[in-house]
Amino acid sequence: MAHPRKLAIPPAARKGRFEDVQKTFPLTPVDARKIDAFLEDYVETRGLKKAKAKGKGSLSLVKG
Amino acid sequence: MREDHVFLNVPFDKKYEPLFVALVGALVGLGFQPRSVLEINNTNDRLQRLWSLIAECRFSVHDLSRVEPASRGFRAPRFNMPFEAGLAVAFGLADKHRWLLFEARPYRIQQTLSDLNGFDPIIHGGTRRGMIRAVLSAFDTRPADEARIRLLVNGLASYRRLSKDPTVFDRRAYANLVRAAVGLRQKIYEP
Repeated sequence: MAHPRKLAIPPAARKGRFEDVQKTFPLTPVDARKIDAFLEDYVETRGLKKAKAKGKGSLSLVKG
Repeated sequence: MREDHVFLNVPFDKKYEPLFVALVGALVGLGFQPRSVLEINNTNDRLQRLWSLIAECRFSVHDLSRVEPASRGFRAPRFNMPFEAGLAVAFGLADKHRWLLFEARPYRIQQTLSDLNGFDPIIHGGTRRGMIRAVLSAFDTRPADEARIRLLVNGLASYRRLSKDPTVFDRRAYANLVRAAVGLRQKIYEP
């Protein structure tokens, strides 16, 4: 039985809740602050805002 | 078994890091939580814990593109990855676990692992872009997924550069990578 070329994405993944990600991948307070700072910086200056604006709703690839 | 968990069986070497970042980013972009032996300590019950980890996951990805002789020591290939692939295939035969084979080159796996003749590996070509395409081709995605995933992988590569961890293949750095990917996904997918 060969696996099909396209596997259905289960609803649990489609919802993208990552319910137990904190339990599976705990962060130290220092690492949590670093990631938060990166995300803040990325959203503001590293392209996400520009990408969203450029695509006017549909995202396009920009260099980070 | 968790429907949104994917067990990753991939090489842990420096050259593979950009592909690993792309794989983690693409899977998180589709809503999956990647799992890995990096979560398991080197203890006596490692095999049992490895089995439990695979059994927790609905899917697994096995990238057999780097099964080659070691450059040091006995110059023997490491068998961990084919062994873990075998565990997942056995689990898939008995349960609803679904496994995917990834390779860099077409037709090579037919030579290295002829027991799996008839199972087409997904070819990523050894590039970040190819890895994104491989994940997108493995799953039934929506048209909007591709642009978001490319953006997420791009952002995650930026995170990896800025994190300055010596390797991403240790427990802490891997956890941070996954959490950064989940954070990026939330930022990208939020209206």
